[in-house]
Amino acid sequence: MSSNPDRVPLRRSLAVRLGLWQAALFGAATAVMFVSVYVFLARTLEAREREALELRAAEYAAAFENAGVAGVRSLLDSERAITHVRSLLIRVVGQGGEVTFAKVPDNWIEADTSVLEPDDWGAWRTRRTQTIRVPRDEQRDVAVATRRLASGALLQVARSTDNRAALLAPLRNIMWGVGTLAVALSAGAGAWLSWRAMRPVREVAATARRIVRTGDLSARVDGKTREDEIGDLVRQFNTLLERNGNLLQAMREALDNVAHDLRTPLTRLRAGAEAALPQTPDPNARQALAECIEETDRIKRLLDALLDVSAAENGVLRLDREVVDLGAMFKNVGDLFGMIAEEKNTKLELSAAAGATAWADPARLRQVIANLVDNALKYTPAGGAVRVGAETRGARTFIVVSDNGPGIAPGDETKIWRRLYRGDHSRSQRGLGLGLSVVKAMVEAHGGTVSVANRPEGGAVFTIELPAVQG
Amino acid sequence: MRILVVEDDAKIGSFVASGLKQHGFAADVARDGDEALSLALSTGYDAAIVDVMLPHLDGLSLVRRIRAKNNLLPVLFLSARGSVDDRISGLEAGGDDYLTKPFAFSELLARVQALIRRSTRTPEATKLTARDVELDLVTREVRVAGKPVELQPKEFTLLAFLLRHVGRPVTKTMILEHVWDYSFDPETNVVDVLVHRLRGKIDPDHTRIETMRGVGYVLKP
Repeated sequence: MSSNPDRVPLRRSLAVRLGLWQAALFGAATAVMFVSVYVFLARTLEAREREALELRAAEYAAAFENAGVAGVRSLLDSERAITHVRSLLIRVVGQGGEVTFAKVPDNWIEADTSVLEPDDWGAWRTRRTQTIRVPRDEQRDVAVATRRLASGALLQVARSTDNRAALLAPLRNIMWGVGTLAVALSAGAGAWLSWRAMRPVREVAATARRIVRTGDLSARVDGKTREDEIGDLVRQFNTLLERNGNLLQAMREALDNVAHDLRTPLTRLRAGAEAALPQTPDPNARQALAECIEETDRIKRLLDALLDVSAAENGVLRLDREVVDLGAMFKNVGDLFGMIAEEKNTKLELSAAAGATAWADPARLRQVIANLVDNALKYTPAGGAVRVGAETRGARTFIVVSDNGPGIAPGDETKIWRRLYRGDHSRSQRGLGLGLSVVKAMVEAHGGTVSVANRPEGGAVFTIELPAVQG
Repeated sequence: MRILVVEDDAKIGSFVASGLKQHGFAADVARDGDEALSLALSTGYDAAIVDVMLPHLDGLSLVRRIRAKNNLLPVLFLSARGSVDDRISGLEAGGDDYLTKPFAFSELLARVQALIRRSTRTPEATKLTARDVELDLVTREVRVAGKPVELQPKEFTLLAFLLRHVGRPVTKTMILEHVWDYSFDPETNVVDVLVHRLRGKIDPDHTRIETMRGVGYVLKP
């Protein structure tokens, strides 16, 4: 059933859309959380670093105040063994920007670029000078602690920090990986869960479709009773089907009862006349009995047709549908009407395009085509032609019956389908006046349409549209 | 040949029974399903005609019970409802054929005879004759008064059908169903046309095929 046009395509599926939405929301929430953690972590690391650096700066400033540059040197000498001191930049900058003391770590490059200088806002601005340092690795940041000395000069302690490279970058990578994976999983799991949750809804749609297609009123949605909204939908839907089924059953029984109540007296009437006929010598009486029998048969046909129309219109007509080959069907109809057409000296042409099919109850479809051909032959004058064609285009089949009779009188286009309606042209013709109502009711019971138009060159053309295949 | 008629309507029941008797059958009428069940199980019938709607035990249940006893009695259902569903449930219940009311007696008779023929597997003759009309089903030759006659396929089928029912009327409905396999009346006079053509070829002086108004066509024996 992959070609079922009624099915919801995947891209429109609510389950898929819910899954994608969930993934989007989940992704956004994860991103916010990760960014918060990252920022917090980065800030904390930076604060720790700064605290440590401030501590060092205080120590060196105290040493400088005590013993000047020599004090700093001796402090550094005593700390030579401590690894992290080696990686510190320590310098003293005079008020004019002149460097009175500097210790540069081994892995720093001294270059002639710029120097950090406090501005009026407490931040730093750069000024060209000859001795500054840039970390060899550009990715590293520099943390700087500054102390103002009693002389007005600045003592700066700086360290290249590798927090981002060493800690934050791997963290970022992990967050990217985990986040992407989580979003993908959430999209998949969300779609799957929604798909599962939507299963009863799909079954409701499938059941409705099956009922429309097959008329099987006993179909119900398989309801493992869930207590949620969808379970409620399924239960209500089944209740609706139950009531609908009961109504149709009542309708069917009512029709059966009408049929029974009319057929039984008709049977007795016919039986009485038929039994009396051979025993009646009087020719007038025989004639009356024969007419009685003929009229009984006429009423029976009328009743059969009326019951069929009522059943079809009320949706209780049983249709045993199959894919009907219209070529074979036309041959069969031609078999029946060919002789009548010959007698009337009317041309009857039935030709179905190769591969033309209809998804229909063959007996009912034959009745429909036979009624239209019969109708066309009745109105077509001697020497005229009745043409029947069929063609399947996509999922629909068109059956066209055209004649060159008088056509449909203006204003009669909708009336001709009414039960027992006869236009002016048809009064002289035999028939029950039910043929076209049967056609309309049967075609519509098949989910098709029938329409009539006048041909520009004269005559009427009836067009039936039916589903070509099951689906 | 003994036929069981199960019909609650007295007039219809006696019409069917007396018609059957006229055609050489013995017939018993049961007025309800219970009576019919005991008759069917105690008497050897060759066929049963069963109305679907009966008081007490309805026709479908009756036939189901008969079938439950492994009784293969051929059954023709009569129904006053006549919806397709009824026809199908009748056949599902174990019926062999189905006829909608009102019906022509000749049609009922033809169906009952067909049922009996089927159940006794009477081999069908390949040569059919009536008076000076001869028809060979195998060679498809038709002779009238010794002279060969060329018939169109539908005319041949109709003649064979009339010959099988020689002396008994066949209705338009029966002809439509047998010759064209149409179970509904398409409101045409196609049967008249075909009979007219056949007459022109085998009965130009109207002595062999009689048209009985209200009854049908009879090929005279």
